[in-house]
Amino acid sequence: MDSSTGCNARVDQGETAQRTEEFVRYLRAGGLVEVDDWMPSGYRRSLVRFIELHAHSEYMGALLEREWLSRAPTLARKLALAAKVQDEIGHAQLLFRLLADLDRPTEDALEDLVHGRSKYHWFFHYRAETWADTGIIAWLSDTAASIAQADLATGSYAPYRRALAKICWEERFHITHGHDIIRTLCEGTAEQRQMAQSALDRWWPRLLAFNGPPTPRERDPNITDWCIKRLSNEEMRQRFLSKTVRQIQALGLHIADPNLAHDAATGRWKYTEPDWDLLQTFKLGHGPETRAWLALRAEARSKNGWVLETLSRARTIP
Amino acid sequence: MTLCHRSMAAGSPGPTPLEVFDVFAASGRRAAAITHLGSVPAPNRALADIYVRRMFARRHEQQTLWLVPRVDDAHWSLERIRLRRAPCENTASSQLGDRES
Repeated sequence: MDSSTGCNARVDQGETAQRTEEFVRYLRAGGLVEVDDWMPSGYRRSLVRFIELHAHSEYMGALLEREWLSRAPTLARKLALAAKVQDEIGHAQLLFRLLADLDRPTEDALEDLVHGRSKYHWFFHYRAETWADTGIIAWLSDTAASIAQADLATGSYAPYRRALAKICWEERFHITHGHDIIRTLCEGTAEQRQMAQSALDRWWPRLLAFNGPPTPRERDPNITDWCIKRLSNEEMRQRFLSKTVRQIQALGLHIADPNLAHDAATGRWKYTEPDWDLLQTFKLGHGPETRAWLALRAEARSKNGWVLETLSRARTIP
Repeated sequence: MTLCHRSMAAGSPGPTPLEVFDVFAASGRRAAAITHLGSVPAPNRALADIYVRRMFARRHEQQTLWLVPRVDDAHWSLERIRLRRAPCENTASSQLGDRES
């Protein structure tokens, strides 16, 4: 192990079926794992895959709102949006450090991302077309994300839990910031209300898909064995609907899904099923704006490389 | 551009490798418990200091931060001490730690 790499993860030596079983039992009993604990290679792979998808999504998601920094309607909004974008990049940095400690160097993860070999969340393969889109994204996608993240913060990998404590805390202001943008538009002119409504119409089907396809709990090893998460995707979606539908209606906005209804008998929300097959293709690089965003990232990496190069020489400065 | 790269280990040509600094805080309601917040790669202590303040205390959410250059596995033992002393977190964790150590 080379301390300069920050890669602390232990090689998965001595892995046997029995030891893995014991590990899974330990996790199911609520056990926590630190980076230098022994872990089966399957657990490490699942962690890296999961945290990398999260890191890339934070990193790429910030682009949608970054585009609006120069066009925010007031100075206060511009400052709030800049702070949010900085937060999202900060979340990515925290998560990239977790990956480095699991022996997945940041540089490799970013290279794989810009070359389309590493996935990020399909929600961020679109563009924020109007100012209202940034409000809808901040309010509602951060609500869906915070439901998922609050759940992940009770998972089995202790370093991820600690990173999520900070992430969840910041997501709470993002939700308030987004809600405030939409509330202001809804209290404004007819044109402003229409802008908020159109943004909701555009983003609602995407929001409904945010928490992922309704994979049954028993088929998700991240729930059953590794205890990285506890809620199934569908449980998260139900929580999202319970939390947001009435808030949206309270602002006078209409959700354009004829099947959306709360079934009092089962206590569950019914809705129009998202097109999961289409969304899966986004992750593989076929989303509406995937190419443009990845090109922007690749360009930023090559243009800003000098900053890091300069910093890396700073050690010699007295 | 490199944040954490194995090929940049000491002795290889190119820019100086970045050092990793671990960040700890004692904050919130459980002021006595020191928590590992994360880590940052930086070329030196002065720049790590600026980076850490932006990353972890931009909104004054932390009153005291400790920055520890990562030299070996020693920093993780601090986190273990915390887990061992806080049975509400998870007593099973310390059992695994005991078995592994």
